[in-house]
Amino acid sequence: MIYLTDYRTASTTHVELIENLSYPQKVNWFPETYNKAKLGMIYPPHKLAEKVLDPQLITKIREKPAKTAFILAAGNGHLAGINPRKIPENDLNYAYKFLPFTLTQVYAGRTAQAFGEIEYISTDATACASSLKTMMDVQSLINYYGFDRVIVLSFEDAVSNSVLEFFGEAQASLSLKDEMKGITPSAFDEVNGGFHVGQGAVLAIFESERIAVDPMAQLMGAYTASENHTNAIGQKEDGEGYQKAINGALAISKIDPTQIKIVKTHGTGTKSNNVAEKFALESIFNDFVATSYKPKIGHTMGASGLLETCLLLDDLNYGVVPKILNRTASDSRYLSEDALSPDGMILSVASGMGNVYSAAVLSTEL
Amino acid sequence: MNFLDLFNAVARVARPAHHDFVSIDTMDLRFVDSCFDSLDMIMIGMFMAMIYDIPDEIAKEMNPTTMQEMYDQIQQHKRRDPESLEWALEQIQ
Repeated sequence: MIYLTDYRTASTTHVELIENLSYPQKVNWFPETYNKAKLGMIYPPHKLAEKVLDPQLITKIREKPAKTAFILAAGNGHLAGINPRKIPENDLNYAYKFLPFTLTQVYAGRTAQAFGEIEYISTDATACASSLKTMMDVQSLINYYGFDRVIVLSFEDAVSNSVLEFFGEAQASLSLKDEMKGITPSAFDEVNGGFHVGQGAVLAIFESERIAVDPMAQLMGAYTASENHTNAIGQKEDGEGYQKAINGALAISKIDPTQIKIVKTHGTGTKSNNVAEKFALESIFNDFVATSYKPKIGHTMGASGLLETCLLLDDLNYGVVPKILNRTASDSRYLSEDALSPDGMILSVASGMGNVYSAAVLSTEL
Repeated sequence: MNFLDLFNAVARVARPAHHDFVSIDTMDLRFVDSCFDSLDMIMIGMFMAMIYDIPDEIAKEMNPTTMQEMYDQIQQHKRRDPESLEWALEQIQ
């Protein structure tokens, strides 16, 4: 058995408008991560990661040696915040003096050593599914390779010129034009929808039953699947990718769909995701409540799957499944109001560009 | 201002906050015997170059192996001196 034994999260509801872009948009961010970024030695994503690299937790892990793996789920291979196009000078421009510091695997190696002796260090670049996709790796490492602990650190260079230009051009993030019409971030809603790009990070510790003490949740099973689609940044309306990932996770978990009562959706609120994710969920389950954290904290990209799962565990500690912000219709499934948490297992879902879908089943009934 | 104090303060910023840190208290110490790895030393070197206003192209070629060598190379290429420890840290934080 695999347990989530500890975690730290960083996310923010602080929203600011970034105007000096080709596609002006609001973002959820920690502006202080850009302090001195233009010196070329201090990178905003590194400062973001340090928000979850709790020295006390690191010390606790060092003092309890075990066969340990470290995975940096960064959503990309590069944290440089560069943009090859000519873009206006703005606060998100930052220089870098040494390329190695911007490569995610170098950062992973530099960070992993803080945790003591590490047997395995890797990175994951599976776009916005990245952190949840690593749950499949956690299973493999613990179940088949004799690891007793897997440390997953996840964050991405989300609020950067590259990302904002990309999402703006792809019309994925909520545009300023939409917001001026009164549209606000939400998911599964007929009126509101879409997301702000957001900064966020999560550090999660998974341990085998051999060493786990006082676990917070059990990782029952996880699966990542691809979707057969000609459009690498599109989603099929029948939610094929979601269905394959969810059914895979249920099979690995050896549980029946009726045991899932709470769903942490990917919930970007884009029209295509609303249709695909809803269709998939309702094809498999018929008695569940669903929430989305993206309307509240923004889309933290590679970090989002695992970060939002940990935020849900925080809320469940208070017995609450939180509502999806800015719903305009009353809805007891895709929650328009906070709901008391039902007994049952949790399904967490994520999707990434490049036709990738991840799902993980967790239980807090320990 | 003591150079060792400045170095240790700069090194604390350069080395990731979650890593072990042991201050250096002698000019004779070889960096390979310190807690700082090669990437730490790159960052420390570039921070020192910013504080002493040494051009990047020169700073990148400075590869001191001891504290004394670092001090000597900085004295050779510097275009200013830090006003105080606080001022120096303001330049890099």
